[in-house]
Amino acid sequence: MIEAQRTHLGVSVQAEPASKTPTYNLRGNPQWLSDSVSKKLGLELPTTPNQVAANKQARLMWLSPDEWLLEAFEAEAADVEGLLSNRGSLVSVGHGLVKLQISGDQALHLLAAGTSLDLAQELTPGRCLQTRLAQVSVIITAEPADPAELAELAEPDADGHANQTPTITLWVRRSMAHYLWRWFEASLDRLEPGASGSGSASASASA
Amino acid sequence: MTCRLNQGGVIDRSKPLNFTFNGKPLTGYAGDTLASALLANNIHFVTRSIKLRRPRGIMGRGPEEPNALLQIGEGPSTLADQRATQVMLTEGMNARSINGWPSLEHDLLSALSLGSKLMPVGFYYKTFMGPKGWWERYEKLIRPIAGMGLTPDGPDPDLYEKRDLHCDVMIVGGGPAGLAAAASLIGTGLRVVLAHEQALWGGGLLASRTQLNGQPANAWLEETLAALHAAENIQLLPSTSVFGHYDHHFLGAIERVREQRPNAPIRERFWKIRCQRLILAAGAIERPIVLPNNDRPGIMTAFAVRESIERYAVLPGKQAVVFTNNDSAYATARCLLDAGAQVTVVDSRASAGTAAKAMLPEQTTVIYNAKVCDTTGKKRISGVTVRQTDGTFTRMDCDLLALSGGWNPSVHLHSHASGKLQWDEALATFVPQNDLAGVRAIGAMAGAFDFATALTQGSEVAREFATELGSKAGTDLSLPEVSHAEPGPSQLQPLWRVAGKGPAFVDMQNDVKATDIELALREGYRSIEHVKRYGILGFGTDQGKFGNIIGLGIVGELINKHPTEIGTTTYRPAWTPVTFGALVGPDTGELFEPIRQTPMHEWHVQAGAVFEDVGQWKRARYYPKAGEDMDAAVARECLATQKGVGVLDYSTLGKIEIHGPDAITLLERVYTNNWQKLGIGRCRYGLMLDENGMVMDDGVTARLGEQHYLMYTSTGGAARVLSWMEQWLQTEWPDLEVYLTSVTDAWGTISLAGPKSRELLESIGTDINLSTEQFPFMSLRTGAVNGVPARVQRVSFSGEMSFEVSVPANEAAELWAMVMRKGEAFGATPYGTEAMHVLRAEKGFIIVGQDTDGSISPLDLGMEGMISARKDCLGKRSLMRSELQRPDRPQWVGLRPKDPTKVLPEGAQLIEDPAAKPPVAMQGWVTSSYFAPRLGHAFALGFVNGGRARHGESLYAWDADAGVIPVEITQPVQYDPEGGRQRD
Repeated sequence: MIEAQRTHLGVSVQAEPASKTPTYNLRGNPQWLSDSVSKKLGLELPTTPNQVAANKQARLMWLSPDEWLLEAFEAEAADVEGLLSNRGSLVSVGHGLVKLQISGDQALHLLAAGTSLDLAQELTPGRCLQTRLAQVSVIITAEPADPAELAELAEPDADGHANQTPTITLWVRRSMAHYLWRWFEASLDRLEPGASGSGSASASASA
Repeated sequence: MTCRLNQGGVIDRSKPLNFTFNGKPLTGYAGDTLASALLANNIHFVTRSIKLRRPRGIMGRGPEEPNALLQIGEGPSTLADQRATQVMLTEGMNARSINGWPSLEHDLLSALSLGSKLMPVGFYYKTFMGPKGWWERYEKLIRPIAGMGLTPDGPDPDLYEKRDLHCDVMIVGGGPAGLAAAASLIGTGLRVVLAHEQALWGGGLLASRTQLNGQPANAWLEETLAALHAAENIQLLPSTSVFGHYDHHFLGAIERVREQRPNAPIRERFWKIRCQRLILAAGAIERPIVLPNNDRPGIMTAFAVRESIERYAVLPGKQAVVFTNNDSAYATARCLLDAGAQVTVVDSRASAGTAAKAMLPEQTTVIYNAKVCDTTGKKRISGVTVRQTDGTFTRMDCDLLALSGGWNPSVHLHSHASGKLQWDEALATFVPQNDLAGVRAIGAMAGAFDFATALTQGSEVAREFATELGSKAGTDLSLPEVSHAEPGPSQLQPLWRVAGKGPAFVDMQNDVKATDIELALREGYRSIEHVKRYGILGFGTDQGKFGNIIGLGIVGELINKHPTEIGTTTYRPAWTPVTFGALVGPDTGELFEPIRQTPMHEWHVQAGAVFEDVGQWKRARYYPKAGEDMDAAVARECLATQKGVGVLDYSTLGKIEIHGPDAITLLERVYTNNWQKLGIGRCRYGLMLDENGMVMDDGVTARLGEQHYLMYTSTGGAARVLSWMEQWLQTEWPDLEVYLTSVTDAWGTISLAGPKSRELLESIGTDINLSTEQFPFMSLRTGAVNGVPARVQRVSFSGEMSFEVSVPANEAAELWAMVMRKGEAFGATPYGTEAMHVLRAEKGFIIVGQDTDGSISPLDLGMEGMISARKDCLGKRSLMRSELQRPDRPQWVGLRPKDPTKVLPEGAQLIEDPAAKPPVAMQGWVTSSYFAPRLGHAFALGFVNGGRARHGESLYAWDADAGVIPVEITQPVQYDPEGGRQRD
């Protein structure tokens, strides 16, 4: 299982190899990395925990004080290989990760079946999280998987509301992707129709 | 005979429900509990007591029920010990008694009740103590008698879910206090969750004639619930039992989903709730008064009777005696009268409160200064004896006895999290002393038994918490005006038990009598915790919700101490029993724990591989052909590597990329050997020690560039080694400029081992020169294999010439298929981990974790040569300890069974004299053992005290199953000791 898709009760879960987008583990001292990141990728290197920086060329997700997950959407335009000059490390890890995208009104409910993080509070745009989902480690963000959606997200919808339900993207180790996929299937089977009934309270009181 | 009243109650008479009890077809209505439906059919007698087999009836109305624990359903989904008072009736429900053999009505073991005096508490401990070993025999007889229902006969067919829930304010209890609190938080923007144990909201209001704003309470309830449902910031969880309250405002709850939505995909959901503020409005439970023969069917708590009439429109008896020591039971007497029953009130006090008196018509018989001191009847109460203080006894007939000894606030959720309790003299019970930080107990749980106070408390605490959490103001909740309220347990005079002849049960579920508590005290127990344990008081599934406070009161009277001095036993989760299935959720079967798969997993499955678990990985162990057993398959796979080429999926090996100018310094510090002179493109075997000097991991590390290394770890050790190195780098060596990245999952690795491996790799196509001159043993080349970027390594774990080809993981399955296709011409044979283990054993290579166990040093393995004298490394100094220098330490050896066909059991002990009587000195043990196909005989590896100097000596392997097998100690390396084949 690397490519798969399932929709149930309006929740869609989709899996694909992360290697479709060149993906790297970037490590180094932010003091001497930030210049080069700004020059080569046009991005400000995130130094706040769980912060994401993205543009059309690339996305950087903060993983630790000296570690980022780097996606190069336009590998040619972004001079990824030229990021480092003999210091730090840039290791291609796309083949070791599977990317899952979850969308739909009950997406957060589905994830709440496997993580104790308060996603409604924590998983805000511009942030990424590293947590345990079911029994495996994942990196998770509510940033759109496709940079084309970036613009879409910024646009208010027809009713003038900000688009509140972007796709949630998460990365899992390739070897554990089959397990996590089966867990998603089992959890989808357990969803109840509609977010009502056992639906969750929403933080935004009737806007 | 139906006991259903023609009108009233919150049942739905338009929805009759058929069910059976002990096979008998019966009818109830939607809105009934199983208990109310049984009572409607005039069934009180539902079980026999566990020890004495006495007939027992429905006694309570909720979680406190000690008797009506029934078996529901059949087969794999049957549920045992379900409290009929908490089970909502459903169409077709099949309920049965759990005790009674051969039937409830005619129980042969009921003769036990005649001997009740002979079987006090401790009877079993004392009687069946000896002779030694005989308990197993007694147990065969006792266990079936002591049964508590039937377990399911197959895997649970239902689905369960667990889910985390985060909120600002959590409210437990959907009675007036909890509802008022929730309603006051509407529109605050705070995330609020309101959980209620029952299917219907309202708590005490459902059994009350209280009016709110001059209307029946129902109108206010409907209006409030509609507002709560409409509120976006309120999540309602009816049919949800909050079973535990843990530190940091963490609660566990079980939602009985199908009680609300019968077609839901899951039966129950386990909620893990974290909140900032917690409002506890868990209510209270009425306690009975203990008196002789107080356990006959037809004896209930007064509130259970009231709720039966008011909520379920069921009159549980026509001729009732209400026995009380407080005012609250007068409301029960009133509704009994209104429903057409005859009522006599027996009040232990000299007089009742004004409000209580006003409940009853003047002509009602109320006997003050009187106690019910005995009952009669077999399967249903038929009469009581009343003793007045002047010494007169009156015998009166009845079919119902309603008891009220006061009310116990349900302080459990306060106490679970170590909340302290204090004795309330007026209520004669414990109430919460100081609220825990961010937690507030309100309503009956806090001792406030009138609805007006409960509503006010709910509203006030909600506002207070909302302010603390900085929320905007909520809707202005105007509290309803309360009128026609029934009196609470006021003017209570403590009365724990009435003396007299006959067993007086304190804990019905465990048949614990007042005399058993006396016995415990005579035995010398004083602490309530000891009395509880000796008397098994409160040990049932009801956890003593009726009996514990009464037991405490009785102890206090007997030893003349105030209840505060005695204290309570500890309240522990769970409030009510929790389904294991709900705690587990989907994590059963293949989801029990993560399964890691290699990129070639599907090929192995298709090839019929037998898998083994290595850590979380599934690895192909061997690939049996038709008719082959494991030994035959493994032998064939081993020999293929010697003659042609064996193909192994090596993707599970841990792989860590190391970058940075200080990479070499890190290697020098974590490995025992020398890394300074390793050239680019070369690789080296390394041994890693823990601080204690014991072998922690081993593997090959290759140098890919000036500052770039690739470290291989054992399959099971990958995560441990990475975090070990990160820990040292982050805490002790932050000055080192070196970065680690795990790439285990990023590469798929295929090992080709055997004399034809080079030819096979060439036929697949590579731009790497594979000649020994250009690509010698212990080196690594990068290039293309089959047009895919690859890292190819010449190392050998099999002793044969090997090429380990690593490609990006998503390319590995295709390359593997290509290898197998092209390999046909070279006799390519897939081999699994079992053959891999055999091959390496013939070479004397260790497997960390199989041959080592955290107590083996490199000295024990004979690897002194691996320890560089030039430098220090982790664990090195520990090796200097005299214990590790001892010449008679267990040392790594080969073991050759004298019978070449006998494979030693792994784990077998090695001894010198097989005839010696225990204790026998151990000379060593076997760690790895196989039939070695390339050697042609059985062979093992293991440790022998001072073994390196004992090659050629004989020992005996001893194993409980295999018996005694003579062996000869050899050197560990048996196959190609010069290593020519792997270098080739």
